[in-house]
Amino acid sequence: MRILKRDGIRSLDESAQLLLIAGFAVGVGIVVLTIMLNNVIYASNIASESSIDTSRYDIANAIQMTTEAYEDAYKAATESGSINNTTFENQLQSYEIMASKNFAISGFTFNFDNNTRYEPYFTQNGLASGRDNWTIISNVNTTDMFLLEINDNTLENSSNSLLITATNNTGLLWSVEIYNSSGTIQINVSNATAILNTDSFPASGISSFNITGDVSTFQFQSYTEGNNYSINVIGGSNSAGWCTFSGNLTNGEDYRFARLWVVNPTITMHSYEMEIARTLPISLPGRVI
Amino acid sequence: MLNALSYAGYGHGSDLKSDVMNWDGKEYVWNGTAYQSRDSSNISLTNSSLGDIFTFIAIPRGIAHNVHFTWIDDNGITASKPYIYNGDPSDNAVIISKKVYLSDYDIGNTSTFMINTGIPDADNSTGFYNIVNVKMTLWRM
Repeated sequence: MRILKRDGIRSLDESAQLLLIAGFAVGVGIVVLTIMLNNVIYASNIASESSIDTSRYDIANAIQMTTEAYEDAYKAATESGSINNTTFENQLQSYEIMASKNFAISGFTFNFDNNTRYEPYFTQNGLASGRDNWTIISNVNTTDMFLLEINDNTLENSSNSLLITATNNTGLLWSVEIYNSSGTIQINVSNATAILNTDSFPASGISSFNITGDVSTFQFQSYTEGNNYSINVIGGSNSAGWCTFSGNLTNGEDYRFARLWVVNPTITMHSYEMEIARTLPISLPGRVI
Repeated sequence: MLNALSYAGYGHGSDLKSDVMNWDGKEYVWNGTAYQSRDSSNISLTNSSLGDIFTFIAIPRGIAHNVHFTWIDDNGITASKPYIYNGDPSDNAVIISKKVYLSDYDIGNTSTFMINTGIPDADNSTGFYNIVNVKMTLWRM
C-alpha cells in the first residue's frame, strides 16, 4: 500500500476544491444563461406598447362624428319648416355630453363651441376663405335636382366670375358662368366649343336658378346625358349662395348634397400629452339622407 | 379596415354604421364557412360589411378576430357585447376601435333596437341616439 506524504495529500485536496468551485461556477452560469434566454424568448413574443401617436385617428373620428351630429341636428330642427334653434342646440348638447364621456375612456377631453350659422360661399368648405376650385361630385350618371341661389350683393364682376362646370374624362361638357355686371346679373351657358346661351337681368338680392333637366336657358341635360361626369365649381369665393344637387351615380347609388348654411365650430381635445384644437366647417344640411 | 368601412358618400351612411344599425344583438362565430349565431346554427350573419371584409382579408390569412360593440349605458357605465367572437385573443393581439354616431333617423325603430341590442337611447328628448365604440381585436393563431 502506497503511503502518501502529508504535502501530497494537501495538493490533492486543493485540486478537488478547485474542481468543485469550477463545477459550481459552470452550474450557476448555465442557470443564468437559461434564465436570460428564456426572458429573451418571452419578451420577443409579447406585444410591446406601440409608439404610434393615435391622436390623429381620434381627432379624425371626432370630426366625422361631429359632422354627422350637426347634419342630424339641422335635420331635426327643420322638420317643421323653419329652423328651431332650441332643437338644434339641445341635440348638439346631448351629442357633446355623450361624446365627451366616450372620449374620456380613450384619455381625451372633448368639447366644441360656436354653433353660429353663416351664409355659405361656393368654396369647398363653404367659407369665403375656402378653396375656390373643387369638385362637388364625381361619377355622376344623372342629375335630378340642380338648384342654385346666388346672393347678388356678393357676386363679383366678369373677371372674378362664378363658374359651374360639368366635365368628363375628355374635358368640358357644359358650363354656366355667372357674374355681376354693374348691377346686372349676367349668365353665359357654354358647351365644349361654343356659347349656347346668354341672359341677363337686374340684381334683386337673391337670384335663383333651376338648372334641373333641360330648360332652354341652360340645356344641362342635353350636354351631360349619357356621360360619366363630374360637377365642379371654379371661383367659389366669388359669390355667396345656396345649392342643392341630387341624382344617381354611375354605380347605381343615389347622391344628395345641399348647402344652405355653413357652421364653423372649434373642436378641442386634450390628453395628458397634448391639446388639439381644430375648426371644422360643416355644410348644412350637407349629406342629408 | 375600420377607416375603409367608415367612409360615407353624399346621402349615405357608412358601412360601419350600417353594421351597427343592422345588428340584432346576437353573437356570431366563424364556423369555417360562415358567421353563425352562437344561439342558433340556423341564423347566419348577413348584410354585414365587417363580416364581408373579414371573410375577404382576415380569414384567408389566418388572422383571428373579435368585434365588440361598446357603449355607455343609462347609469354612465360602459357596457360591451360581442358582435363577432372567436375566442380569447393572445398576448400579441392588436386592438383598433372607432366610434360611430347614431341618431334616431339612423336607427328607425328605436325601441326595437334597444330591446335587441341593449344599446339605450341616450336622450329621448332629442334626435340623438347614442355613440357606439366598435372595437376590433386581431391576432395570429
